[in-house]
Amino acid sequence: MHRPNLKLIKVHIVSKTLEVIVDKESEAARIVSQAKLEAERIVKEAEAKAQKVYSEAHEQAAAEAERKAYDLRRNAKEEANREAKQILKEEESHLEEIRAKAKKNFEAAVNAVLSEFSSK
Amino acid sequence: MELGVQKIADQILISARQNAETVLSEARKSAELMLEKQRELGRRSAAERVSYTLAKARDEADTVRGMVISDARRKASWMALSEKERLIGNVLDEVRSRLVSLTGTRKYAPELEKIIVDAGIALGGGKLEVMLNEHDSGLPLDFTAISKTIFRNTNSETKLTLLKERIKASGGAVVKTQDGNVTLDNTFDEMLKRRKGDLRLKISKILFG
Repeated sequence: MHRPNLKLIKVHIVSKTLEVIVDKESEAARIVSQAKLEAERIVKEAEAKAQKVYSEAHEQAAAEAERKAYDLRRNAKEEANREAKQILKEEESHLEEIRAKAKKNFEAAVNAVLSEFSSK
Repeated sequence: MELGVQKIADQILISARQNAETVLSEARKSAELMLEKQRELGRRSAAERVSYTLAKARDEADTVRGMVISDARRKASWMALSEKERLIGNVLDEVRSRLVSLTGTRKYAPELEKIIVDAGIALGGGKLEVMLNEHDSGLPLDFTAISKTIFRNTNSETKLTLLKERIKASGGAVVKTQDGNVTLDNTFDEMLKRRKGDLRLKISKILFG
C-alpha cells in the first residue's frame, strides 16, 4: 500500500495558501490604486471647479449687495413718502386753523384797511 | 479553501477597502476644503464692491429721503402761503366792495374831499385840475374849502378846477397840475394798488396774528 507523502502534502497546502494570499494582496493593491486614481480625479475636478466657485461666490456676494442696496433705497423712499404724507396731512390741519383764525378776524382786517383810507 | 486562509484573504480585502475609502474620503474632504476656501476668497474679493454698493445705496437713500421730505415741506409751506394770499385777497375784495358801497352814502362826499385834499397836498398846491367819475361829478363838493385846506398845508395859493372829462373809476379822484406835468391818481383802485404791499402786511398781521 502506497503511503501518502505528508511532507509533500504540507508543501502543497502552504503553496496554495500563499497563492491565495498573493492573489488577494494583488486585488487589495488594485482596489487601493483605483481609489488613489479616483481621489486624484476628485481633487483635479475640484481644482478645475475652483475658479468657477470663486467667481460665483464673488458674483453672489455682489448680487446680494445689489439686492440689499435696492431694498435700502426702496425702504427709504417708502418711509420718506409716508413722512411726506404726514407733513401734508399736518399742513391741512394747520390750514384749517389759518382759515378759522382768518374768519374770526376778517371784519377787523376789513375795517382796519377802510380806516386807512378814511383817515387820510 | 481552509477557514483560516479564507479569513486572512477576507481581512486583506477589508483592509484594502478601508484604505481606499480613507483615501477617497480625504480627497473629498480636501476638495471640499479647497472649494470652500475659494468661496471665501470670492466673497472676500467682493467685499470692497459690496461695501461700495451699500455705501452708495445709503447715500442715495439719504438723498432721496431728503428730497422727498424737503419737497413735501416746500409744498406744505406753499399751501400755507397760497391760502394766506387767498384770504388776504378776500379782505381786499371786501374793502373794494365796501368802498364802492360807500359812494352811495352821505359819508362819501367828505371822504372824497379828503382824497382830493391829500392829492392836492402831495402835488404841492397851485393850479390843479380834478377829474371825477360821472356820479361823483354831481356831488356837492366844496372846492373852495378844499383849496383853502391845501393852501394851509402847502403855503401855495391853490385853485381847483373840475374838468368835464370823466374817469371810469368806481370812486376817488384824479388830480393833476394845470400844465399836465404831474398827475396823482387817487381813485380807489389805484390807491389800493399803490399801497398793496403795506396793506397786505397789515391784513396779514390782523388775520393770522
